[in-house]
Amino acid sequence: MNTLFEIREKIIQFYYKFDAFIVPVLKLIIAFIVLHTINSRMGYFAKIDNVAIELIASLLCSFLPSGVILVFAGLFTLLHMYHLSIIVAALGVILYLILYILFLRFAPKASLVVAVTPILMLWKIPYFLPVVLGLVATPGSAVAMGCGVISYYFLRIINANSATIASMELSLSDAPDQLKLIIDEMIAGKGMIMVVCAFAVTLLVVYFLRRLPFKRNWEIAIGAGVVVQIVSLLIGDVIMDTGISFINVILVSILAVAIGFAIKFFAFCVDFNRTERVQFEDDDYYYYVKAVPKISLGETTGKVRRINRRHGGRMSFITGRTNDFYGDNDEDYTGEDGEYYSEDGYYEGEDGEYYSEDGYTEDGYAEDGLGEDLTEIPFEDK
Amino acid sequence: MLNKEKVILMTRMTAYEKGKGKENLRIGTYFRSDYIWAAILKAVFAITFAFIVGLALYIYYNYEVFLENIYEMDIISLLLSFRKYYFIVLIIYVALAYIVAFVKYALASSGIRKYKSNLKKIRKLQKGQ
Repeated sequence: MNTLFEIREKIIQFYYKFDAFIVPVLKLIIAFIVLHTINSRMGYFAKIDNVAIELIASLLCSFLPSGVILVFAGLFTLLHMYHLSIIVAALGVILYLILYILFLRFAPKASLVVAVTPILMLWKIPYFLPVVLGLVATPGSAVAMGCGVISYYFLRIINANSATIASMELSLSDAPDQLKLIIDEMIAGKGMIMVVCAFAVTLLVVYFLRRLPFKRNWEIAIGAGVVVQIVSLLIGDVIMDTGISFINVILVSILAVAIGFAIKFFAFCVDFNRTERVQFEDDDYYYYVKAVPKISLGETTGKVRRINRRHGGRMSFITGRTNDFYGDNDEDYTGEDGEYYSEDGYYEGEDGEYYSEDGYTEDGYAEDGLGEDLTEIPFEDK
Repeated sequence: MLNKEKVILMTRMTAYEKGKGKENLRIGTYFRSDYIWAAILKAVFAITFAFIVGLALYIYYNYEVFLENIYEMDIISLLLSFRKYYFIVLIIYVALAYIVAFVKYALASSGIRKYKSNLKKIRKLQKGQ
């Protein structure tokens, strides 16, 4: 376990040291994956289906705010749609606009979630996302996740019907047909609403359980979240027959538990603080300050390894004296009675029990075996 | 002479102004009622816009039906028949916007209170120098 803590500390220190490089590189990788997936799956517009363009866009995303990834993803999908049919592109603009105006403005910081959710849905592994977001984000990201799921289903319908759409000639009479085709499919595909609801419920359950002030709240939140997700997806499948692969759901849920525990392990000390580089001035000086967050080791490392010590520093029930009275020592000692005491004032009796100097165990049993169990008696009465 | 405590305070405050505080300090320039009313107004505009777009899509979707019966149908009464849905959605959405604005304002003002108390501390340190 100690090795794990050491590794964690090293990782965190590495992160704080190089976060100015790590964050842009991560953004670059995410942006590239998102854009490349869009291009490889849609690819109707050959001019932007090019690794060089993907790389340039990803590079831009790497140093701009994370919301830009979503803007580029939206732009790429709209361009592909436009090349397929102007009506589909118009529908895409309307859908994105409504999603933004109605929902996404409540969670502007979660825009990355919107971009990543469709990709995870495509890879069929989105089931860990609600648990992870419940642990690290706010309830607002449920909205962002919902927008991502809706976008995924919209793009999937377009992809599935691209041949039909392309074959329709754009005329006044055909335009509503394209629109009808997509809207009918969206209304018929009940899986979308079910998945949005299941994910939102899971995220909220994890979030609120995690914030409740009881012991092991993180573990309970992760477990409850995974169970709620599996059950709600199962109920949804029974009612609406969505055809979700449950082996996949369960496997990814196990992954969610693992990721959840990993986050718990790190989140206690990282707390998502970042190294701050700030500039300010007062009457006398200009300050260029780099503030590095201290690692607070939190409760996970609160264990103290006790060596040669059976009973903690508690008060003797019989005499009312504390261990400190006997053993204000840093090492083991021999008492006046000739017994060999450990540093905290206990000696080992012949029966293997540990006794304090007055001959009683911590629970109030005398060495001669005649003592009574005093543990139930309130402290003042002893 | 550099005052360590002052540098720490100023660093914290600058980091706050740059990060979380940016939005919070903007919210802090409004009275609570003004901020919440503005949020509600934005919500009404947003839902009205979405509804108009939805209606336009609906008409376009039923393009043929509308084109055939354009002279016979009572368009005004048809539009009025949608108002029930509009108001239901509007009430739910405005309630949501109200809750979000309320919570956001409360969180922002607690952050600003801390920020202001830090400002006072810096002022005191400045005088003490």
